[in-house]
Amino acid sequence: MTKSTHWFARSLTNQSSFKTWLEPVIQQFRPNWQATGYPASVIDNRLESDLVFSLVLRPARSWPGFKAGQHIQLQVEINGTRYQRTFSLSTAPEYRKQTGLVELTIRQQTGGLVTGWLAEHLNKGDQVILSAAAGDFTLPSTPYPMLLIAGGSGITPFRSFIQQLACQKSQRDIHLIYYNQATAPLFAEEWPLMAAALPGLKVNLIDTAEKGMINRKQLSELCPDVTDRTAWLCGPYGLINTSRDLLLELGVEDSDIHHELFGPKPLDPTMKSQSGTVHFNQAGMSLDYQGGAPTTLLELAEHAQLNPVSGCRMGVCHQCKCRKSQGLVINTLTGQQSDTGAEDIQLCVSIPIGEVSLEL
Amino acid sequence: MNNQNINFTQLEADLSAIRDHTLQQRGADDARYIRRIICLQRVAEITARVLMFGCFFSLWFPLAGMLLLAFAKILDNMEIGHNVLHGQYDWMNDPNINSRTYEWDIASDAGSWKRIHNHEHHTYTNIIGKDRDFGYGLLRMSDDLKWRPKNSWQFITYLNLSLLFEWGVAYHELAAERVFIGKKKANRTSALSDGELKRMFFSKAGRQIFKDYVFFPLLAGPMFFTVLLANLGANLIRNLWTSTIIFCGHFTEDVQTFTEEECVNESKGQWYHRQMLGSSNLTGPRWFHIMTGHLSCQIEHHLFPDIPAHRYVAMADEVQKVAQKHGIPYNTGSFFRQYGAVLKRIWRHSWPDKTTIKKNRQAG
Repeated sequence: MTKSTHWFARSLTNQSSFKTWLEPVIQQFRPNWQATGYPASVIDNRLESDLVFSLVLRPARSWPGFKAGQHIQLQVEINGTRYQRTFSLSTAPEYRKQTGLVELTIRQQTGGLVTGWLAEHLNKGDQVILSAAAGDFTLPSTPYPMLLIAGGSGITPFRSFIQQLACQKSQRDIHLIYYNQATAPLFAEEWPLMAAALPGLKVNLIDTAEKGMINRKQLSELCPDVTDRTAWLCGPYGLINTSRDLLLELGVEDSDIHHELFGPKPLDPTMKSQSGTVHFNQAGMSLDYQGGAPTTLLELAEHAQLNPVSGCRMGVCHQCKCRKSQGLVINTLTGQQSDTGAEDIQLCVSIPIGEVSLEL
Repeated sequence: MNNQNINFTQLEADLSAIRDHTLQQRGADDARYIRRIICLQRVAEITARVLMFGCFFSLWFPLAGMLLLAFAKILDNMEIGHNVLHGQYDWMNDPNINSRTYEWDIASDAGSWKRIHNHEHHTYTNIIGKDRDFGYGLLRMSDDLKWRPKNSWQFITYLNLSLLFEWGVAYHELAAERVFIGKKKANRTSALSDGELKRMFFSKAGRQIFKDYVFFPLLAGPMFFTVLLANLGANLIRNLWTSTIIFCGHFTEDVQTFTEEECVNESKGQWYHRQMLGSSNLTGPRWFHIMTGHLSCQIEHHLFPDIPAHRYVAMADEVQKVAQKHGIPYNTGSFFRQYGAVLKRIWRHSWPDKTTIKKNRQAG
């Protein structure tokens, strides 16, 4: 929207656009319509294992599509509250072209409010809202040999990669090493079929309970030509970190390593801050916090019952962005310390140091 | 404040129990409620704007349009804007129904209003010298304030304020005497510069004037002035209504005021007590409560400012029981009774009270 149409909409409606102004009216006729986001209907809710399930969705035609490996924000409303969570698409763009469908493969988080609800309550015929797809962790078009290392539900973008290559009947050299701890690998029956369809695909399924976590010996035995490949890592923080260090040791260039983190980066206990105070300027409130276990500003604001807008809670969606008027914070994603002056920060991945003032 | 016989710890526990009980029920019903009210507001506003173009056929059309637009503006300001800006619906995590982003159809910009109203007025309710909403610096509503000659015509000042209420509020929330004239209190600091405050004020006021007094009148072409007058009428009706309701909430005869000293080191129970003494309720049918934005339940609003307001009516019964139990007065009555008490209060304080006269004599 140009600046002048934006000003015009704002003058007439006081809201950011005519669409958002009319949203509650349109929703009386089409309950699932939203000014931002795209509706999708649930076709199936399929169990993959004890804790993992796949949502089969048919996004609206207006949904702009995606590249293999990208993720979306899934939005649902649970008892009046909207929640957004980020999930990778686990099927290929080519598959959507043929069937109109996409899949999200989701692991139920212990104590997680949303993933448990999705598993239990979403059924065929229900409606959800999707964002446009985003993310740079995508299947490259240049046919370099690739090494894919996945852990647990981190397999989802690679399923998309491999399905896409299978649809294209690609000859590309792909080596997938898939780690699972005490659970059966996801899509166990698909991998042999894929390996049959793709002459360049080699799959190693590894149960860490049996063979141990990833280590140098194991990696160089499984994949002796590792330096000839670009490496793609997806899974929990520990796996990504260890694999990355091993690959660098084995001589893979840093620029040839790509990764996608699943789940939030654990707060570093060494980031322990002394206790301090957060001032919420708009609300005219202050909250003292204790040193010890680090707490994010989002958690502190919610503790003060301020309910700021929030989304993914892992630094992806930028919805909880808020103006910090002064004070120091650490961004837990980058590990970087902020400037002391005014700037926009993401509440969900920022921990305060000492005294911090927010425009909340 | 007579607080000898009140067990403040128990009072806090009783009121917090009401709050917690209501919060447990909060959910999909509240989301559906506020979206339906917003829908009603949008439909009323669109219909009103369209009706006004019927002025080519008959002047009855712009008249009906004016009344409907006033209704839409009242809904937007009271039941939607005021309550959303209090953060009553922030838990919905809806980017458009949120105290951070909502902007309302009134001259005052939402940000400035939130800073002054939510913070100063709701924290320091009816503390003379701290709550700038007490009399808005224009009216003498308590003997705690020194009588000045200008108070003798404050009844007329009050009528003017009511009619121009949205501009009064906008000017007031901006702390305009500070920004424009340069009066500054030594102990008051602000995170925002005067320049920023001025820019926000003019940008919002400009958009409002453009919409009601330029854009829609121009669309009517030769009937420019008819539509302009209808819009002006709608704004004035809204001003009168909001000002009247708000005065009934804090300036009825028996509403008490407090001094800064009384409120030093106040406990939460004492704060609750002060909120109950400083507010008054109106009784009426459901539509009346909605049209007041549930400020008809001013006592409940001041006790629980961030609970969805349509729940106040049900909470009021419980709160009244708690008030009775602790022997705290609960000021409620019909609209006409309470408004009569407001007018009486404005009139009474137009004149110096006897003790002041005595003091002045002694001093003289």
